[in-house]
Amino acid sequence: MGDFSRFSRRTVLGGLAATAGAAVLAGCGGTDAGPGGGSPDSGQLNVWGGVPAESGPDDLIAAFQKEHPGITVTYTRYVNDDSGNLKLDNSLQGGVPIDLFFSYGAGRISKRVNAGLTLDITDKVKETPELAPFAADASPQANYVFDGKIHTVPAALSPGFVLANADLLDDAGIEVPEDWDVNDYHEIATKLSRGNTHGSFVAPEYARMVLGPDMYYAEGGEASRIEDPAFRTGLELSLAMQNDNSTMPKQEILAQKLETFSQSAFLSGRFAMMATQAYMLRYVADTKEYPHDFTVRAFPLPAPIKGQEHWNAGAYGDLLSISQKSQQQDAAWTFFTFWLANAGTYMVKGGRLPSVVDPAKTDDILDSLLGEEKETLYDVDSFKPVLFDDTVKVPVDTIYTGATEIEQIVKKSTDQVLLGDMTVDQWVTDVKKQADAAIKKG
Amino acid sequence: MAVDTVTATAPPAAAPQPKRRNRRSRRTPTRVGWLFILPNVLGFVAFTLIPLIAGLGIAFTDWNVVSGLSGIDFVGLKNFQVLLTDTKFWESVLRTLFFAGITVPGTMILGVLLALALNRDVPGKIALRTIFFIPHIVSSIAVGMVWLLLLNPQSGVVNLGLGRLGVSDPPDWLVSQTWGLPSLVLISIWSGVGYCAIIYLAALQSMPPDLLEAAKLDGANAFQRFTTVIWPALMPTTTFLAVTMLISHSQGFGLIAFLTGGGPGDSTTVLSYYMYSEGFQFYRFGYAAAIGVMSFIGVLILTAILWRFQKGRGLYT
Repeated sequence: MGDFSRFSRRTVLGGLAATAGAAVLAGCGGTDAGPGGGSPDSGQLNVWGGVPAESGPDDLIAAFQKEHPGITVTYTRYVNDDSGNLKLDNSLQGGVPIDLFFSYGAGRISKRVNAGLTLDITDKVKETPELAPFAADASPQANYVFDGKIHTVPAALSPGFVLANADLLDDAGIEVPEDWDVNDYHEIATKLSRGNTHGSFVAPEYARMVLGPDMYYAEGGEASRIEDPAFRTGLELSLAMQNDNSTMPKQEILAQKLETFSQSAFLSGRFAMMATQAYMLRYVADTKEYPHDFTVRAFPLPAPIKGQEHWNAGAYGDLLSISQKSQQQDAAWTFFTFWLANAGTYMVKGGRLPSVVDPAKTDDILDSLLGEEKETLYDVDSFKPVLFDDTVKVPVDTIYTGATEIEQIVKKSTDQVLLGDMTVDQWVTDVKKQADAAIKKG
Repeated sequence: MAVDTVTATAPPAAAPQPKRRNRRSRRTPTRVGWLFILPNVLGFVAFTLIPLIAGLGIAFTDWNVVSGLSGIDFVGLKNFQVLLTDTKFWESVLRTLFFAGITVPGTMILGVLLALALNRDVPGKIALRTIFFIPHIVSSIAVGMVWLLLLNPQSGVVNLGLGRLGVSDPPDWLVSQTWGLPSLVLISIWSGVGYCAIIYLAALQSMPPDLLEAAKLDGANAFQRFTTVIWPALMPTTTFLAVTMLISHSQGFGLIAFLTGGGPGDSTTVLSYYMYSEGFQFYRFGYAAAIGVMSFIGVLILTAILWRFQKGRGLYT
């Protein structure tokens, strides 16, 4: 199961806010000029990211430029889909001036690192004590490491949690046990299923919570481990919950594209619970687009096996890197550290929890995340423990061979099982065969 | 004398001049012609010819586009060898043949019937022509969105209608492995019929009326007039539509990407979507280019067969 010691993001911030200033001073002394060098306190930076500018980046950049008037920053938003990522890759490769960029997902960043598009920031991270949890040898691992080197730092950490319609829970007189497991979840979902309302959107991500990082790979990543009983158990749980109507039928999910628009179904009361991450809260706060009259409550993810430690199904995200071709790598590092230190202030309104949290500011972050109508829309007290719980263990993958293809194979085959076109046994055999082939293809 | 001599010798010296002018005057229209088509030629070269040649070249490489040009590895025929034993590839070929093989004739048959109907004195025929043509000019995403709602297994109008008609277990349409591809065929036919009808209508209206009159005078009934006069007259149009639609439907992508994403399972993964997955999702551009080359060859062969088939069958050939 890997290392169960925890990364506490609260311990990180310490003096990170001052690191940008330190970088400036170091640059002035001319001791840390990277290949692209430049000055750490002047220049024009181009930053590419997937978050709409108005959802945080604009404010963060305005604050940065106020503090560093010598550096001008232009933010370009790319859509985080296949064509958007290809556009970023071509631009990075083709010499478009990009100094910093965000990647979303281990598969994307690993391709960029392997292609030499990212600057090796191992030493820079090492020299910044506040970034110690993101160093290559940090324990527990809180960052993606490539051959012992650091090329990125996650700016967001989004733990998974269960978001529930509190009114439905209260009406049914249901108390969620603190140490609940997936069987409790199933039982509660069954009780909440009435008429057109399902207890849950889908079943909890059983295999991820049991296996944690590199869940698809056998030791060394030379083959898959789809035959692990955790996959079968998870799939059988999904099937059982669908069969007793406690989750939405897969047909309905696919026909209405609810994998992309699950917020619409949740906020219109079509199901009562879902495992999700912080981004969902911005939809809850948007009562104009998603009008609803119930409050929502947060719970920790149910354990796969009662009483046993498990992984959280959340993720590190917003992987910030400096371009290898940047001519202003010192100024880029100044911005890099500023973003990490201040994401908690400016990026939260877009539903992104920072990887670096000032313990004194958790209430502010929560206020910003829940919005102005927090007292009527949320059971506020339930959120702080799940969003800022330092004891959760979020997995960080280390093997990426054929990862995108394997995820697609698993998704498509799981759909087939839930649509009644494949048995669980066939799923295991078929997915194993295809996943091994994908690893071989690389 | 001297003047006379000069005068006498002058004409031979001047004689070539008109020839040069002729050559220049012949060249000028050619140059002007080239200038007129230059923007188009430049666009063709930049966005079709060069990518086509580059695509052919990439098919013989193992290339992850993120690595740039330095990441190109020449692998010879390896991609094609792998393709030949790739069951997903052959399954997608069969699905493409099914998709194009039903959509193209289906659209054309309904198109010609619609054109024949609209060629008569139907009240409001101008408005009807516009209405039938609208699906062709509407964005495929908008078309997809409408059909997504219509074919919803639970709340879609189609299944509600079938329920009223007593069908107890109507298909799940786009979310069914069995019905996914037929649903896409249905939608593609619907959106293409208007276009076919308008092209056929233009052909019908440019047909010499004396041919039909002669056939009538000879006592041919409506069916005989269609089979012996109208259909042969429409043959060039039919060939044009068959070729262009075969090409476009063997590359059909937008609707599939939006409506099914190649699923459920791989049940709607046609060649173009398989190529997209390999290239743009898994970044195997060499392999994707090899799929593109095979697809190109396949369409070329089918087009040649069609061309050969229609030769000598038209009224004017």
